[in-house]
Amino acid sequence: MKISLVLLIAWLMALNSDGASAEVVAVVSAQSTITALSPTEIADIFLGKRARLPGGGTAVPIDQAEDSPEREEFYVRYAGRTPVEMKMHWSKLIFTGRGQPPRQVRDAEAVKAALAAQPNAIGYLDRRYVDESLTVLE
Amino acid sequence: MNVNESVSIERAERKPDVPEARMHARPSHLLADPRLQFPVIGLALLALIWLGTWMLVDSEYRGARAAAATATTKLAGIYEAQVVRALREVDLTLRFVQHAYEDGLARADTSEPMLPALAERNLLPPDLLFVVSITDDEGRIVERTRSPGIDDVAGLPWFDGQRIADDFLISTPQFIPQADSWVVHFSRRLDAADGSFAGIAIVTVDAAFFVSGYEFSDLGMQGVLGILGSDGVFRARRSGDAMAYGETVDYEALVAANADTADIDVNAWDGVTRYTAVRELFGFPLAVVVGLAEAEQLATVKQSTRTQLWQAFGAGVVMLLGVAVFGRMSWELQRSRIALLAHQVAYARRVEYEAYHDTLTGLANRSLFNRLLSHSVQQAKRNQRSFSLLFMDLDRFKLINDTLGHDAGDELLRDVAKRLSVAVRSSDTVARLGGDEFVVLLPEQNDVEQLTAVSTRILDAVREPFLLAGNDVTITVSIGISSYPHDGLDEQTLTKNADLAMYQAKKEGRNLFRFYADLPPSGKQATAS
Repeated sequence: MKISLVLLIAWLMALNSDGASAEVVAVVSAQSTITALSPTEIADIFLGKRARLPGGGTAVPIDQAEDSPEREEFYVRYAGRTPVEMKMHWSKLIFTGRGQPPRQVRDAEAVKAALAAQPNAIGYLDRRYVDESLTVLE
Repeated sequence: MNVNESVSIERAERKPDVPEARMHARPSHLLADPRLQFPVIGLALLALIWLGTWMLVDSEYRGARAAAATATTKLAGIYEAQVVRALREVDLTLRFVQHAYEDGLARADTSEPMLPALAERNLLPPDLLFVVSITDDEGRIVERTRSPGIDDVAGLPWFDGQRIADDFLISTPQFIPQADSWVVHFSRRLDAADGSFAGIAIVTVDAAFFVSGYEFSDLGMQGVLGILGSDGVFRARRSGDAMAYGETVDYEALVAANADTADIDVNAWDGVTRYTAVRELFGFPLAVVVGLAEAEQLATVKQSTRTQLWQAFGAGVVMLLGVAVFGRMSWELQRSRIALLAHQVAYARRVEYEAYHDTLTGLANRSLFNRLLSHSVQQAKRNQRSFSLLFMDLDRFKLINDTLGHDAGDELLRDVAKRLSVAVRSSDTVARLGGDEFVVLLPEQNDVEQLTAVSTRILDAVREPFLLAGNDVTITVSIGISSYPHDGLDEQTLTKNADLAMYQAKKEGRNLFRFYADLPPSGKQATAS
């Protein structure tokens, strides 16, 4: 009985991690000088609160499409904000002239292309799109 | 002897009593009385405390009001600049699209969509909040960055308006159910190559964007930020987290009431009283509305003045208690001083009374009689008046003293004194000179008949039997009478002559009265009495 309960819980947990929408990770180009950034630093860069990179240079955040699941997942996970809250956030920053939202690209492939083109660019995508051209910031 | 002394004697004749003494010892000035003095001081201090507090509270309120008005004006200035910049950016986007459209016409390449190219070159505003679209001359959307929430703008005023001439036109707010949000459309005219109407360019903006500058730290939960069309329709209005779109207000009245200074205004749209500033934008048919809720702005000062009022109240209570305690102490001190003074005065008065009165009978004694006599002589001399003296000596008093005892003798003297006092007028003075000798001083009196009547009354009164130690005792009196001025002009002569007359009465058989004037020459010789 006890063993079956433990098994059930383990199975449920496995199901949960499997069943959750894909895990979104922050990435930079493998050629980038950036190798490590804390989740807070990443969130600040994407919220427009920080532009300078630790090693110098200006960070260039790259967003995915507004209605993409990766984008929602990324902001909930790193900044703890829902799409509606993000819209309010940028609305205020743009209106008060204190910032512009990150450049927006179509999909994961476009993110890779953007990262390859700019050494200071930071993006996010589903872990399964990670390849050798990228460094995952963890 | 002067009048004052006479008065003092008169007073001395009264029985001394403490209440009267206290009355005379009362402080002369009302304010010197602690029962009045301390309440007055207390009330004055209380008035001072409350006046000071009132002035402080008043100045704090005035400061807070002025600060709220100033803050409103400042915020309105900032908000105005932000809105104008946002509108300019929207207009700039429309002009880019106009320009790109005309460029496309020039290249005769109208089939190619033009917006992606603009987006590529970062010439369009962020997709998140701004949607750019283009219509044909019928009002159908032919190209767009996203869905503007509308497919056909034919018949709408901001479309039809562009048919006439190019203008920066602003729609009223429109609700987009799919996005669950309100938007405002801004438009400009697109010209065909021949200058004819070809359609419009539209920038659709989330209406909330225009009030997203709402800072809770500045505006609180009840402040207001709004963008109002000159048509009286709010494009967006925000108070705290509450948004409203498309409300209609009286634009002219609102502008007229709040254009110059940030005045207190009960805002028509939600009934909240605010310091309200309305600024009409230059070059746009819009005005910005900024308001700070009075209740919120004055909450701090209200709190602090409430504290001050409580402090003033507390200080007042403490002060009053202090004054009451001091007042009480002071009053007790003064009361004990007054009591002491009264006691001293009463004592002095009793001593004086005893000095001038006979302790046995309560009649005036020899000292007082002498003073009254001198006084009478002076008065009579000055005013040409007369007075008379009746000298009396009880007949065979020694016999009663010896047979019935001293106590009976004393009682008899007291009874005689009473009868004498009854027999004379109230203005006459009866004195006991010592032993069984009495004298009556009759002011303003030298009429023989009157004196005869008085003397007869005295003889009759004394002759009535006395009840002494259970015995009926009968005693008589001999009276000698002298009158001023004809029996003498000074005290000694008058006394001596009255005494001589009395002596003559004794000689003639007692129980008689004799006038000095009637004495035989032998009787007028001074002999031992």
